[in-house]
Amino acid sequence: MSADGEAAPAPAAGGDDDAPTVPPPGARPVDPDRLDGDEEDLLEASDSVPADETLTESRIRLEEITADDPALRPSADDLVPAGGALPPSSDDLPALGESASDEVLLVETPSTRLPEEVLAPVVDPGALEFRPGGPRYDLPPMIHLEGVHKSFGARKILDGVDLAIYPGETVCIIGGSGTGKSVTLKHIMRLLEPDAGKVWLDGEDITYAHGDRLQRARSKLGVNFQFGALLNWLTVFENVALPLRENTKMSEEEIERRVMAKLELLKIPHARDLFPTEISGGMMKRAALARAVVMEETLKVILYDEPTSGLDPISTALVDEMINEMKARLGLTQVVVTHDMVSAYRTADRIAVLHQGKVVQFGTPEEIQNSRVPYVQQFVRGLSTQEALVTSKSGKFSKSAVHKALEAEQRGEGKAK
Amino acid sequence: MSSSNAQSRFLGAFGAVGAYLIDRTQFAGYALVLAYRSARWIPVPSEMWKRRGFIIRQMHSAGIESLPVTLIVAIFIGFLLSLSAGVELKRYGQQAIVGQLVAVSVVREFGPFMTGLILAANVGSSMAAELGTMKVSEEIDALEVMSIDPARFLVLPRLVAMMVMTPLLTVFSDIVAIIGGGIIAMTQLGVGWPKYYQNVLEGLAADNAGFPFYEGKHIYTGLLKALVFGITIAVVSCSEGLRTTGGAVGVGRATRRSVILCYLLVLVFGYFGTSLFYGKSGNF
Repeated sequence: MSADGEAAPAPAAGGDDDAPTVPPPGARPVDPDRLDGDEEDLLEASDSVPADETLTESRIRLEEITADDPALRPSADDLVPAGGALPPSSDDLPALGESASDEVLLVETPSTRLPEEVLAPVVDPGALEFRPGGPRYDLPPMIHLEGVHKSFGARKILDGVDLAIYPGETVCIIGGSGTGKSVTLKHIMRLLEPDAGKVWLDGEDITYAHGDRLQRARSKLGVNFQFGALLNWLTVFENVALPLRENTKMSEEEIERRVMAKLELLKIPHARDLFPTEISGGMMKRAALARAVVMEETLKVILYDEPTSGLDPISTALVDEMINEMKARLGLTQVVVTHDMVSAYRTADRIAVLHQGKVVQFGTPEEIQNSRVPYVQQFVRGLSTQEALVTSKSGKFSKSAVHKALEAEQRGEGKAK
Repeated sequence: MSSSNAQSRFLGAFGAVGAYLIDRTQFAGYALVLAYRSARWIPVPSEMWKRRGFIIRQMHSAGIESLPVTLIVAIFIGFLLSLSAGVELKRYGQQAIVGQLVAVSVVREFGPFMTGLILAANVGSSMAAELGTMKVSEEIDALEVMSIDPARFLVLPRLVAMMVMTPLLTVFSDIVAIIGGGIIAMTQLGVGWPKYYQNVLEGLAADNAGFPFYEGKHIYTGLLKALVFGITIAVVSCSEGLRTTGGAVGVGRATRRSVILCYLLVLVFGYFGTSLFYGKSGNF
């Protein structure tokens, strides 16, 4: 997973000229210059937040899970960190919710744990040579976008996107519809050329790459498109075999062996002779992933475009598990475009939040959870604009606290009148 | 105020025409490049062998599935030509030469022309819709990311299939149309089959000055036109499909544009083909 020795070193994250280093946990990834006035004020206010407000690695703190706020519960269920955390006092989440005040420690409990069959690993551990995963922040970025701008006609989609994604890292790009997530991904695939800025892949500038250079760069990429993008007239086997048949001189026996290994890896060998129209959405995503990873010799990065869209919660959990297994077993760098926060928390080492064509925050899931950027709060917690602003000002991540503050504001206004 | 509005409307219309012309010019360039990128693999035997499955599938789709409608149209074209020309010739007692008239018209013009139109509507629309759907569902992007050239993988089999099947279908439609003309000649014009058949052969052998294979000039020119129509339909339809944007609406738009453009080009190329071989300046 190390950078190509011949390749030019990519610039460090965020366009900084310094050598790439481990992003400090407390670093503020938001460039205040890129924020509007309100956001800037709120960011300044956030500096006064006490250190104990931040979340620890072993547990995720939710501000409130109440019996009368069921909308929060499913996401809370899924926020249990991998590996589990110590239960505080109760293993019954609803009961905990009923007795909860503003802050609750959410842990993996019997009631929140998924059934064993769901948690069974999607990937057969013995099917691949083990390569330890995990982000390598000591190496140059595997993917680096530097001030990428892109417009379609008069519509500006990307407005100076900076992203540095390190080898072995899983980064989720989140944001509302039309914020440029997929466009960002297409720049990494080099399906689009930026109007300005640069895109680096594995130390090589691919911004305007063509011909052999582009082919070489793309051979490092596996892409899992939103709807699979399997060819309908080919069977699952033929779809997965396609890159091998088109780009290599492998014998049919070798292709058969390789493809079946990948289908077994993803637990869909029974679908080999089925056409994409004959399989479920979850199976289609897995077949697409099998195709994405079949060129294993050159593969370094997997890109996922909305991998869980349109899936039920169990299939979503399976896909998330699949993403984690890909990192753990293949040690690949992964970029996941999603607007599903549950999936993002499950899979991401870091999360980049896109808003109006800019990365408004790029940090660990905990940093995103604790963000003082109103849009991030709004997106992560599903708040209204007013609630998000109040949350950011008060620094209390609690729906009830938000509502109290709002009521107080309204009372204050009433008295003033 | 009204003058300003009129000016604004005029500029808007002018801009729209300009945008349309730019788009069509870009399309022409794209189509030519696509034709080159796919056609350059035709002389490579290993490539053709590798794609044989897709090519046969496309041949089946373009040829076999279009055969019934082509033959039905062909026989009625034969009926119409024979009847309309025969009735007029009969007034002058010249109905015996109806075979010659039908044969030359069908083989040189109507056979390739109607085959081209049928394939443009039947196969060209299907190609544009199929590739357009693949484009909007990111399958084309997936191919590009896998370093698979869509021109080589998708367009080449369609191009080869159309290059083979359009002339082949034209031959079938020529034969059926001539037989249709013969049926009308026998049943309504009082011309016997042997006489009609002899007259057809004479017609096809006429006007051979300067042509190396003089006995088949009408046939060869007709087949050459069919080949050009096949290439045109494949390239135009695939180009429209691969340039599709805008989801399902875009697919519909691309399909419609492809059919219209193919119709126009079949007419235009048909005229220039005839002019090249039989016009004042031509006559190969």
